[in-house]
Amino acid sequence: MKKTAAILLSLCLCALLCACSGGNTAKPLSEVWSDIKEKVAFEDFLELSDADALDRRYGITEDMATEFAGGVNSSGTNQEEIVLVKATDDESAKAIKEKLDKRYESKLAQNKNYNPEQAAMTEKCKVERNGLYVSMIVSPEHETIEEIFRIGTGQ
Amino acid sequence: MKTMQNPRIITALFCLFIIFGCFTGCESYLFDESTADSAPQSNSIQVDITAPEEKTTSPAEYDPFDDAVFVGDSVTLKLSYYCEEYPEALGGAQFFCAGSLGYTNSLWELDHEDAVHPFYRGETCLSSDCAAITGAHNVFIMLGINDIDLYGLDESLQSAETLVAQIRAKSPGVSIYIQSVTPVFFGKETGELTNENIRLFNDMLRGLCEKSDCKYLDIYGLLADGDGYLPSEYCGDQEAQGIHFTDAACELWVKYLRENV
Repeated sequence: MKKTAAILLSLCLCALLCACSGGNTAKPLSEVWSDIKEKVAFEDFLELSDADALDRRYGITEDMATEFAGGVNSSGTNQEEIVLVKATDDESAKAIKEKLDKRYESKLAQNKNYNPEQAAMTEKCKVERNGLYVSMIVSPEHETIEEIFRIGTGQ
Repeated sequence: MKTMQNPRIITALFCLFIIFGCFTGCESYLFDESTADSAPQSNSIQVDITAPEEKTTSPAEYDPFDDAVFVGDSVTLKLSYYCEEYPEALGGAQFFCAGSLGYTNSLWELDHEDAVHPFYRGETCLSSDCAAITGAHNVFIMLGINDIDLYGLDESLQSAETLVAQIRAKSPGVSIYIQSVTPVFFGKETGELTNENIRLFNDMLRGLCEKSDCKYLDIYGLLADGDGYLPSEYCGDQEAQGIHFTDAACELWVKYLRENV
């Protein structure tokens, strides 16, 4: 009886380990974006609606990304801009990071003399890559958004 | 014998149950990975991947804005977002915009220390290359609000003339439309950036159009109130610079363009 109980307990532990190990714990970016919007109030925000917008704004073509989400403040003056991308492969992730780095530098350049307050906000933000996930999160709430993105994508 | 066999049977059945449960759980992860490898997903929207230049239309269907590029500063940047939200506004028009862009700094080199050139499809570009890069045959320019206070009217006009010449040199045969500088909200005129100077500069731009075979578009006259200010319903930053537009202003602007081009 004791042997039987010990064997059963071992099997239960093995089953628990199987359930918890391996597999992809990342959510789809659309869900991560929904989580972000629940926590952060965006004003005058134009969301990334389709792959053409991603290409037109950042030069990220359809074959480079499997998922994307985010958007930009549409006032023309506020620099809040969020781009979340899951790349197709490592090479695409590297290319996406380069394009978002250029976009980030462009935002800094446009505002450093023109809108110092927005430039200061932008300077606190960054472009990041973690595996296939690349993000440019420029927002006063960048820390909150980065955390939700990191947890939601299983990083 | 029977009392010894029953625990073994129970153990075997339990093992099968556990193994079955493990495979069921793992399979759902595999299924999610395979669907994640499919086409780009965002809000499950289907995308028409046909690039604008690949579409063919008959002469009767020609829309000049499908064949247009707008060069401008943050005022035009707002228009670009408006057109993204309302795609029927200016059709396939493309945008070469940058906050703080002006006639003068549009002429600087790409690697100039204080350059603020437009960012288009992942690259920083010279405004003078707008037509060459986009393939557009109709170029709409609205610049000057970032020039008047810094460089004065004469130097700003000289820069405008140079930019027009550069665009023509790089893209012969394009049609160029120069849009006026737009008004400032009441109480937000600063330094040399006054509505009076804006009107003077606009007169100079009108003269430039006459001698450069460009068409002048009076967006200032369209929006300004009786005293020459940008009305509150059209001003999106009354507490800040007082020069940027609301959606209502963009709607009027688009209507004017549709009726005058």
